[in-house]
Amino acid sequence: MRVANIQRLPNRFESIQTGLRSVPLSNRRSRPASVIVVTLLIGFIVVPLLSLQLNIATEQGVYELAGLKAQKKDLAITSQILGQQLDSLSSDQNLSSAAAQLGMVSNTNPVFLRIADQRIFGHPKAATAANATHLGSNLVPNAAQNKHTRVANLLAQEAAVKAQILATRKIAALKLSTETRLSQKSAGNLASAKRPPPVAVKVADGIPASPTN
Amino acid sequence: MKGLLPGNPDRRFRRVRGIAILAVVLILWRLVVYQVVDANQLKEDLQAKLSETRTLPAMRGKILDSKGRVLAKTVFEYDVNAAPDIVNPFARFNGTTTVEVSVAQAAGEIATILKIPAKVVLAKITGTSKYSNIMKKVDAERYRKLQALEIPWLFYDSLPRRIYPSGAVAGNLLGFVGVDGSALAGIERTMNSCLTGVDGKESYEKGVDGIKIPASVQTTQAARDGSDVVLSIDSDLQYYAQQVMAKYVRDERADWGSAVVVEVKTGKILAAAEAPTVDPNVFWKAKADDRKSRIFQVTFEPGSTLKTVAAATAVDSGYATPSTKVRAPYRLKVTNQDWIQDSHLHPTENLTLTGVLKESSNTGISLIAGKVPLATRFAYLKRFGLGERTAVNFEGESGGILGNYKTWDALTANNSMFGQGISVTPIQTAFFYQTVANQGLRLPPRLVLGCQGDDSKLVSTAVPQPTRVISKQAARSTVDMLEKVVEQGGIGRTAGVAGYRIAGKSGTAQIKDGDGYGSRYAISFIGMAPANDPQYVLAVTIYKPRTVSNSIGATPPFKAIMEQLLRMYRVPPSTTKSIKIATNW
Repeated sequence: MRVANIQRLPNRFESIQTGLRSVPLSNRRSRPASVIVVTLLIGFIVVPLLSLQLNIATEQGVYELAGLKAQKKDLAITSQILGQQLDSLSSDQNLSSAAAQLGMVSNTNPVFLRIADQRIFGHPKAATAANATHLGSNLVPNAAQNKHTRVANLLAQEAAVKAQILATRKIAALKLSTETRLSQKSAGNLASAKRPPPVAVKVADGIPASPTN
Repeated sequence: MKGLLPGNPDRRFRRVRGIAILAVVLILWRLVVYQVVDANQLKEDLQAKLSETRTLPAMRGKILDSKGRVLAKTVFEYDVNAAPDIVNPFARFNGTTTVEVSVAQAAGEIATILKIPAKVVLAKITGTSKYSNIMKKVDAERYRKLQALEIPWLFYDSLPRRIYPSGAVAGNLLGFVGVDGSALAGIERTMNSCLTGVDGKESYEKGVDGIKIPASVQTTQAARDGSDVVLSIDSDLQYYAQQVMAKYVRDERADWGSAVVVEVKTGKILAAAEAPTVDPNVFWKAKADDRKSRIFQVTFEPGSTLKTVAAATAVDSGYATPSTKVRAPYRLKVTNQDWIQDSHLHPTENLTLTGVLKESSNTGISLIAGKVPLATRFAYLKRFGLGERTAVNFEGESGGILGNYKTWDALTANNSMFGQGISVTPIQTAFFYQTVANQGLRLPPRLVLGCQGDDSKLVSTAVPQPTRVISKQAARSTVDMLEKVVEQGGIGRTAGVAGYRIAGKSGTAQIKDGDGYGSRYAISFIGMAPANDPQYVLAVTIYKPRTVSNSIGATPPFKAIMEQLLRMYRVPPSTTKSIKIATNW
């Protein structure tokens, strides 16, 4: 049994007797009633104000939400309109009709190149109206089609692009001839003459058209 | 008043206390009744008085082709209504100033957009009623224009509408839905459970301005849109095939025509074209017969295209080879009373089985395939899929009429070898040839590939196991024989596509009319390409043409569609030649 560390506990009466001492009275004064009143008043004013603020914010959020929902609905309508236009323009009926109006015919002599051994299958032959399969006008109705490709507009646009390219080339050729003459005069040879860089002409919808056509 | 005398305060106090306690108990009891006993009922009553319940409509799923192109979808249309009792001139801000718009002017603007006379609009918005419909089913484009007019007495109801962006392309397969959105026919009906979504519900309170009061949503059940159905159809090829069939049905003044394109190694139906057809956008304009899918629903006696089945049966069961010889007369006595004959007068010919197919000799096929016991032939017919609906299980699909060989008379037993006395659907005929093209393995036709939800994951439809019908060797021999039909046959040659090895067989079938046969025919040509390794089968049928009386009327559409098919699917021209098989001896 280990006894070495056992300490003697103080006698209860000793402790009480030794623990008694005079304590000075607290000098603290009770909070004045005015402070409580002010605090309460502030509380009564601030809390409703905060509540009001919160309400206003919530209301605004609701109106914003309603606005965004209306915007979403509006965009959905736009998406539907554009989707239906796209459906119409990309429908087989519209594409085949536009292709026929543009004078396109399907080639009945397809030729294939096998990359692996560079072998050609088939005999190349130009697609002409004479050897194409003629199916006539569209015989597969489509009541959902509400837009048609305006082939006349396409042709006019193509003509405008061609004219623009022609004009650009003429200007480029003129510049080249002037530069060449100057170059010939200065260097005495034609080696330094360079071809003008190709000019990308933009069509109406912003897609660049190749100047090589 | 005795109890209230000042001399009895304790008693008075006790009475007042008792009354107060009773009042409190009563109040508490009422609270319990309101809060617990009648709580739900009161809540429901309150909701009914104050809240607004709105259905959140679920959008019906789309129908897509094999390349994801939309064949059917749902959009919104609008009913344009007015409240005549509040129709008045109104102010409109035009960007710089506010101008007054008269009723007549507004009516004119509405009429211009709706493309109806202004006086019609004016008549509809005049009066004292609270509701007047000006026009139903106005599309979104015109609805947007009407909205821009900012007319305060115009109101709109949005309604879902099913549209088919490609019109009649695959119209006979897609079916259609009614005004109320219920599926009425075709894929729309058979796949309705996949396409239909679950409507949601929203209940809320709103202020006088119509704006939802915050946190007032009582119950919300989100709408769950329907899933999409994915078909095996290639809509571009389908369009082309329909265009071709419409042209030839018109030119040959036929009752109807069909073309089925099958991918040999998968069983996928790439095109199932019919003419006349139906534009599901305006299905009510088509005749009732033209709204259905004849490819699955109509049966006819196939005629000589079934000789391929008879020849394959004879080869596979070991009774013949492509070179088996036969002396084929013009007429052949089958029973004491019955004779069969070929379609054209000819002296007795020395043909091989290949020659029999090339010449499409009824007597020749009867003499060769007739050696196979009837029970065996019948078993082969069953294995080829005759007499049973295909795995597509299209609504109203027919399995054809095969009957039981035990009840067949001698003439039917014989004539079944060249496609008389039994009936098939166009889809069945296509899969006889798919079986031959696919080395004797009959695949279940696939039209609906599956149901595709929001996660774009395709849940495939169940596909039955393939059926081994004939051996690989017998199938190859049959293809070799059919190739000679296109290489050398009088009619078959017209089905050829330059640069490609094509195998096929024509059929000119008489059509039952009462007890006998009428003067019109069901003509067909069914073939495959490329013959060295068949990838595609095309079955063309034209029913009751009036300008031609044999299958020469079926080969031009076959050729046109086959050319397009080979081009579209980048099938390189053939580099090998067919094997040599004698057709005569």
